[in-house]
Amino acid sequence: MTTMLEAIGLSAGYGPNPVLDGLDLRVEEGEIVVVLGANGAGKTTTLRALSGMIGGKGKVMLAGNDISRSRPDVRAKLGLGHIPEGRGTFPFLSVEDNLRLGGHVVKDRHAFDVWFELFPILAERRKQSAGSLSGGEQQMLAVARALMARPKMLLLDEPSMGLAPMVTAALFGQIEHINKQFGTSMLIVEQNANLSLKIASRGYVLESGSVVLSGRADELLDNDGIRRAYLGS
Amino acid sequence: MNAIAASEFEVASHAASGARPLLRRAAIPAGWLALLIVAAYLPFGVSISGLVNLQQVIYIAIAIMSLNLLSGLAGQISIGQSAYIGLAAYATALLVMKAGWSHWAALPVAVLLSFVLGVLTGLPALRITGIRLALTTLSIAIIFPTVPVKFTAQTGGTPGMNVNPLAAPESWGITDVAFGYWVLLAGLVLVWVVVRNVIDSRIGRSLIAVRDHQIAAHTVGINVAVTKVLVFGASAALCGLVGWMFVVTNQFVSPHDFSVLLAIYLLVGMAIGGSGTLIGPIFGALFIVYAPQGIGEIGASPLLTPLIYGAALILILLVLPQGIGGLLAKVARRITGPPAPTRVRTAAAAPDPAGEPSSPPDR
Amino acid sequence: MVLFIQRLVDGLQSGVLYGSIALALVLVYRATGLLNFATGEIAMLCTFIVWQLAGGGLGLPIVVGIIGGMLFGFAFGAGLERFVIRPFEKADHLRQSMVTMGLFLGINALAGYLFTLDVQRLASPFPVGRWNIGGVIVSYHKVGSIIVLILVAIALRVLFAKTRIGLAMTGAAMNPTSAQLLGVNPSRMLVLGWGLSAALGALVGAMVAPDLFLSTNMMQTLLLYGMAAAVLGGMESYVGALVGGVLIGVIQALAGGYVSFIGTQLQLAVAFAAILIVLLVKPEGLFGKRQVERV
Repeated sequence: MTTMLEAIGLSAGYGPNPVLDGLDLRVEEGEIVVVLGANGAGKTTTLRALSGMIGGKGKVMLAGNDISRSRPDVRAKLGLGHIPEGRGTFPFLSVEDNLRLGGHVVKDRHAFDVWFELFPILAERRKQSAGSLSGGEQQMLAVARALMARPKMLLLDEPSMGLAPMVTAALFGQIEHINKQFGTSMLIVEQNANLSLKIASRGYVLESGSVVLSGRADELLDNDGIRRAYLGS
Repeated sequence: MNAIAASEFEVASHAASGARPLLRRAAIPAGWLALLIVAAYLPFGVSISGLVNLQQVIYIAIAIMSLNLLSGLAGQISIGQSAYIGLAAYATALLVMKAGWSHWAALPVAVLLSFVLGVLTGLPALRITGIRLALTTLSIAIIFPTVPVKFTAQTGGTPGMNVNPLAAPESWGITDVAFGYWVLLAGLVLVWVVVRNVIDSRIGRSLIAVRDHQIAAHTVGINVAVTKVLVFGASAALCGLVGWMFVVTNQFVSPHDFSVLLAIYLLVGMAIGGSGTLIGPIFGALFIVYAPQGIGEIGASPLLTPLIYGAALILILLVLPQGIGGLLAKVARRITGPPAPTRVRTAAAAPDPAGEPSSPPDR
Repeated sequence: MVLFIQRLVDGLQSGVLYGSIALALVLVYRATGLLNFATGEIAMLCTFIVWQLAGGGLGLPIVVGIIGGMLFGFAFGAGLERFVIRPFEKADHLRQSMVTMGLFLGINALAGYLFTLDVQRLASPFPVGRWNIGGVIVSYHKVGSIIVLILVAIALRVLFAKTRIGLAMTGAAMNPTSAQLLGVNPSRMLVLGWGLSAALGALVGAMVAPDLFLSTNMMQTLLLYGMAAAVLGGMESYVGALVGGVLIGVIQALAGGYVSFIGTQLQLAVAFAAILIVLLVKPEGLFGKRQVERV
């Protein structure tokens, strides 16, 4: 296995006080990795630093290339997808146009049939404006839109946020399916430790901007500390 | 347009107060008094054209203050100030020349007319804000200069009309220009004191509240609608005073004087002086009156004057984002130390909706 | 009846011109939330370039001159964004708009200095002549400029709705961060938006000048009408801008023609009074989406 994404000594934040303090993190090719942590632990900041939305110190490697100094749009062209917090769909554009924009960096920006198969509800709503979709549908759109660029590596920021439990379960099923079928490596930031660890191979636990615990997903699921902190039992 | 500007407003207006050593507390008013005495003495040391320029500085400064009242305090932008000024100026000119009133009798009428126009044009502010509101005020600015042309028989139309000077009392033994200058200077001091007290008052606090948090302001019992419209009225009333001063200074009115260009120059002056400070407008006015002359003197082609003017504006915006007033407030804070804690009020304490997030985003 | 149609046609033509300037404003406003007060002056400068290429200077065919002027406009607009506006990226819209006021003053003076303060004539790209349809007189230039500008508006609409780059511009305008995560470079889109806006301005200038005159102040009134048209159309809509422009042009021509009190002096006032009323009744404009505060 080769390493798809690697952060070495990553520090970043807003203003003078860094949120991340020398973070190390790795995602192997084809792997799903979960980042757990309380509010304010630095999960969203980690993703933002990885995709270049905020600057920082340290090194970010994508498939062996140093992308630490690249702009976010350049990282996207190199195959790094990022579904941001709040999904970032374009509310006034139609579902189709959102997808086309997702395919901005690839040749065939009209190849959305494969995603319509995976998310049939999006096919039904293809002419509607994204703003008229429900929360779950918007999340599906955000995932499908990011996949339009056929990223090698996908960052997902709390895909379960604001979704009903049933919808969340279905979405995680689809995410797992995408990973299996297309081999897309994924780094998922989540509050829902139970569901996310079940589809992941490994996980990191973040506290005040550093990794305090990491390991195989099944080990983390059995870890007492994790159970108390994130699984509520 | 944010809380930073508002807190600097405080520094500027309260440089003289708070728990500071007696000497410093006394030094600052003494400084102002000295400045005022020098200003009042100027008619005896400055040429007539120099005095006219100073009068222009005074009324343009007040006009910029009126914009500041709207923009710096209430968060609204107006491109309509030229119309309020023009209305008062024409009212004064017509009352003096056609109805035979004295300048003094025309003053309250002119101010009242502008106030009414301001309230009327402030009404849209109840429904729209920002750029759209700015463009409704722009409409007033564009419409106004066409009105005197329509009524050429009464107003003299495009060429304009002459107005008798404001005569100095004979017993004083001074020229009309010197007298006019004193009158304007007194007006400026009066406006300064009133505006400063308004900012400090309950009204001022509700203004800032309306600007920062409309819904919150509502819940604590401030009538947002009335406040907004009154700010427009007050701003226009100040412009009414400016219009009257324009007539006193120039003894002439023409539609061209009150074109939308005047309103734009005022906005430029506000940017240069810095919105949200009391002293800023004076620097803005100094720039507007003297910069074209200064540019002419350094030997540039007169054709290029506006080019240098525009470049200077852009540079100042780049280098001094808070304007000259903001810079001075910063310097004042360095010298006198931060405002005493008892003086911290709503504006400084209120979270800033437009600027940096006051709490870091969810990580 | 003939007079009515004549006024309608005249109003339509000026309306299309207003609408086109409004389009140039909307191009920049959509991308940045910035009202570019220099739009008209940029157009005027480009029209002088057209005049240099075609009329006074090099004597090239007018169509070549117009294309040259538009190319110059594109480069000039793009350069302004990159070198003058970009440093103010983080500033609020009031300050950015002030910068464009500085540009307004500067460009106006520059054109007078480089070219001339005298009023010049510019040839029309359309043949000289007119149709007389039952008493209604329509010059070829009038019809030609209406058609060209409407075609340009349609082309812009297609650009933004259908093409990769247009969609990227729309996306970057709506949510720059999100667009950037998808591989769009928002800064490049801004440069492009300013370039297109200026090129469009050049075309409008070349359509206006043969009707009126060529001078450093030719675009100022037009800019005001353009702003009004843009607001009427909702600030963010290309179709709205054009329709807003036509409405203003027609209202102005009819009101000025039929209400003798209004005459020529108050035409301007009537047009703006109409805008005030529309904004009071429908604050988001005729074609606007629900207002999202940007200032």
